[in-house]
Amino acid sequence: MTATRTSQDILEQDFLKIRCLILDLAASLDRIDRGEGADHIADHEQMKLLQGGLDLLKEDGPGRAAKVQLHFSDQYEEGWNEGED
Amino acid sequence: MYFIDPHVHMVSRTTDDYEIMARMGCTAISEPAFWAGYDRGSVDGFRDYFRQLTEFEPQRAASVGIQHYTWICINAKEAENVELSREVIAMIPEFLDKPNVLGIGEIGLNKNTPNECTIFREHLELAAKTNELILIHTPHLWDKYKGTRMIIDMIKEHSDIDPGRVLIDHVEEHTVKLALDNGFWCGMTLYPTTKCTPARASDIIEMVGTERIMPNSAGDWGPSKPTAVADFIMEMRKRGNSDATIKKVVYENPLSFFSLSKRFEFTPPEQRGE
Repeated sequence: MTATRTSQDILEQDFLKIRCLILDLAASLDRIDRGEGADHIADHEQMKLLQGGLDLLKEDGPGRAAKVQLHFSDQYEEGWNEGED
Repeated sequence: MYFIDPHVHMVSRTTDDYEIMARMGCTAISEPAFWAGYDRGSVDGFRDYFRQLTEFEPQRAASVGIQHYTWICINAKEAENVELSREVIAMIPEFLDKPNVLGIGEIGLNKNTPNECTIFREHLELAAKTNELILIHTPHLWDKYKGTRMIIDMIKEHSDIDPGRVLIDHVEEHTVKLALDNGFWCGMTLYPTTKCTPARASDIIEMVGTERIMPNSAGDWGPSKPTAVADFIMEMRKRGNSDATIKKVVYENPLSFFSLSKRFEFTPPEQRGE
């Protein structure tokens, strides 16, 4: 199954929603910056994770959503259950 | 359009919710056993809960024309108490011949701990021995990918469990293909916060197609929306999908999966009253 709409249709129909999502994101980051101790937050693990997630949005698609999901995921170790009873 | 919500915790919802769902076209639901928000203290606490799922809820649903099905287990969130979990698993067969029970679920992992793995494997043993359908809960956030992989690894330890009789729930963009490519059914859970949305679920359908996949609300006692499947239908319509495509995922797929249960009996809404 493929998309039912053209890319241009999707862009025109969803433009305001996407604009709103970007604004929400920008306002959320501003909120962190306005808080006390903002100068020391850049090295915080969660801040780095957010920054990495933002970087992924600039990559070519499709597949960005899955990449962002994996970016925020624990590592899986192949063979973790080998040798268990 | 008629739809089925294959995963919703109606014990946490009001009769008004049942009525709103019925008005929106919900004709059947399935309700997996889950965590009450606190850890139950005894096996008798679970026995009472399973009676609620198999005796009272079917009546409450029927009062608005919804057919009620259920799944029995001890949820992964309570698996850290291994002794109690084993008592509950030993008691589950008391309920496996109840007419609305579809199988064992929702079992799985929550924080991917060794005790959760122990209890998950013991549920799998029971399901394999009794040839029951299985409904799988996968973790919700950063532990979802790892947990889903671990769950699939543990199911593969069982040559006597057919993936075609197992549904892996709460799949998202990074886990949906793990489920489908390994032959499982899968569910997408639509939540107002933190989980999948109707728009993203529709995106997933565009990416993987309509086979062995279905949306659900997983409505429970937390922030959730028991009408989320109707929201999904609206999103799919807005995108220009045909009613046949939408019906396949919100009605026909749940029916096909539930029909694999030896006890499943269903009256299509158009045949009611005949």
